[in-house]
Amino acid sequence: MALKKKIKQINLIPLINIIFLMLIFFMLAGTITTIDPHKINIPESIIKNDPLTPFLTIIVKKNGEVFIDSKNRKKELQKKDYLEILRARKPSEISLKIDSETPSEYFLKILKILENEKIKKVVIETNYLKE
Amino acid sequence: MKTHNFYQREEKELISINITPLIDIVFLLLVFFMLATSFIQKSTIEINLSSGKTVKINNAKNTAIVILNKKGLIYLNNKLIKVTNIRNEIKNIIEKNPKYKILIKSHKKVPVQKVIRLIEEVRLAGTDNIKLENLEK
Repeated sequence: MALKKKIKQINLIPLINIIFLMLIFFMLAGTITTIDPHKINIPESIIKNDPLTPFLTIIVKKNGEVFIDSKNRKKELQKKDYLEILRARKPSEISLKIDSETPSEYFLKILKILENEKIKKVVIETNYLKE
Repeated sequence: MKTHNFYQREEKELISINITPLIDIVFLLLVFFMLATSFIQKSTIEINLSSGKTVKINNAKNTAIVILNKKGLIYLNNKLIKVTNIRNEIKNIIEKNPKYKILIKSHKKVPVQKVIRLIEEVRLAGTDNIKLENLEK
């Protein structure tokens, strides 16, 4: 009888305290990840810069496919298509989301096109990795 | 006697608040945040395209050429070098002549990750005079 009473009176307060603490930790310390339809594995960098919210994002997959923003996520863009978008929007800076395994020829090709379109600054998205 | 019974019952009801739904919801929230959050810090690398135009590359004496070949080996002015040493080497070059320009020639098939690492090492050495090119070979 005494044992039954003891079992009934398990104190849940410490458990709730710890769960609340963990919940607060995860809410404050982490950032909620968004699903990337292109599954781009962005490069790692050893310099920490603040992430920007750019006007226009160019996405380059590791096979060289180019996408602009997330609106054209289903359709691969040909050079004339994204030149059209660039000329219509005329951004002064562009964010480049490129897969870390993309051959550098695609990267340099994109930079050359952007330079020809008189875009002054390209911001490459990276994951910060401490040295 | 009746009044006493009434208060006794009320006291008992207050003590036994059911906290199980609260724990359920908190657990659900905890699982959601544990699965959905990421601790990877985002960063960016800026590349100034206008500055690249001003760098003239005709193997001039004020240009250090960094070659990144197909195998991922790095050569600074035709001398094989480790990626960890490139920062100090370029720092030494810049200290002698701050106007030195750095031309990074990477093989077409080399992954972007390696090019970005090189750009960062050069930046950390203290110069922003970088020009990127494809290696012809």
